[in-house]
Amino acid sequence: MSDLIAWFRKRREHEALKMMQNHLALVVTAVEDLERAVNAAAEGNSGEMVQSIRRIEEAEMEADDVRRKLMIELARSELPPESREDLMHLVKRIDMVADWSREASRILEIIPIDKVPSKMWEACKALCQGTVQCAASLRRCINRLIESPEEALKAADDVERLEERVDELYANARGAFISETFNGTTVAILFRDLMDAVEMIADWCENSCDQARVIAVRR
Amino acid sequence: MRKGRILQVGTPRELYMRPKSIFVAHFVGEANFLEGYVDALQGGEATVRLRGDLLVQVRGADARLGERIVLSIRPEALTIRRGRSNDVNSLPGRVERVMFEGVNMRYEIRLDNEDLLVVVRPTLLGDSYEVGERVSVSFSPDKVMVFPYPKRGLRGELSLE
Repeated sequence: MSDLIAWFRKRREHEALKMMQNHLALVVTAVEDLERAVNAAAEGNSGEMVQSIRRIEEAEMEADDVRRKLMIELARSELPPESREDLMHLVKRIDMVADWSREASRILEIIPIDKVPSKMWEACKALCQGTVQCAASLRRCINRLIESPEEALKAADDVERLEERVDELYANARGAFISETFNGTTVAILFRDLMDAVEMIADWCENSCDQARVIAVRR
Repeated sequence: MRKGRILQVGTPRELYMRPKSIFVAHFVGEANFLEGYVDALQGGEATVRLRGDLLVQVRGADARLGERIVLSIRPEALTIRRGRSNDVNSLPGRVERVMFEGVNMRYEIRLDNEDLLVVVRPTLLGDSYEVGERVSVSFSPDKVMVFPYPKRGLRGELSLE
């Protein structure tokens, strides 16, 4: 067991732990709402899409606020500097998941949704579904890190597998850019940016899990 | 009171049973908070979508469709049952921690959506549960207090600072 995990096991009610779990919950909210926004866009329901985008904005801003407070909490805690740094890296990586969700939602909001071929929407929906699963497994990984590092590592493996799946889906979707006809080049470029941003969510879930692994094994 | 301002005046029972804000619900007694948004409205009932697409029914939600809200539920208003249940407002999860408190048992349940719920049950009544057991946590729609999602965030709202 790593020294950091042993330290937190004696301090289960530590404020930093609660804040980290709260931060991650908000990050997952942003990813889930992105999936809802994309699903609504694919159905041509711009009202629901905008509602979901507003929730993403709120969740991301709140996650940022919690991250800032968490950094202060970690800086003043009695943790050894190395452990403090490990946790700060973890929180920063997790925060990138919310940042990319918001970036994707910004792009989505300016895309004329009726000008995107339905096949491309289907591809994007599948990507988003994959990122939601990635984010859920990431949350499971972090929530288990203190109580059961073995389960946390298993959840980290799940994230890695899911991220590979998202990569595959993205590669296939790129092929569809050739076969599908977009109503305007700008729309195609924006849609490519959207899919890029969605794929980055899965990448940062994986990066976060890599850091969780470091925490789980470092002596 | 909070920061020198009176938030609510009432009998202890009123403050506990009908808090007017998230802060009062948290300050007077213990409460679980679940975040979600209004997915459907019908009559006086609202369907709330929680993280992980878990759906629950609540009454008295004064909220718009799609609006983020916070549900507050007292730990003693929750019941536990082994395995899965198809009852209304039944949330699947796993027992993460168990604490013997004399009169009561305190269970921490990690829901399948990874949110955590605290459940308090009388020690001498009903079943007891072990760490790791799969359970369902249920509550009546009447026992839930519904609040609009605070502008400063849930954590900020609960904070004393």
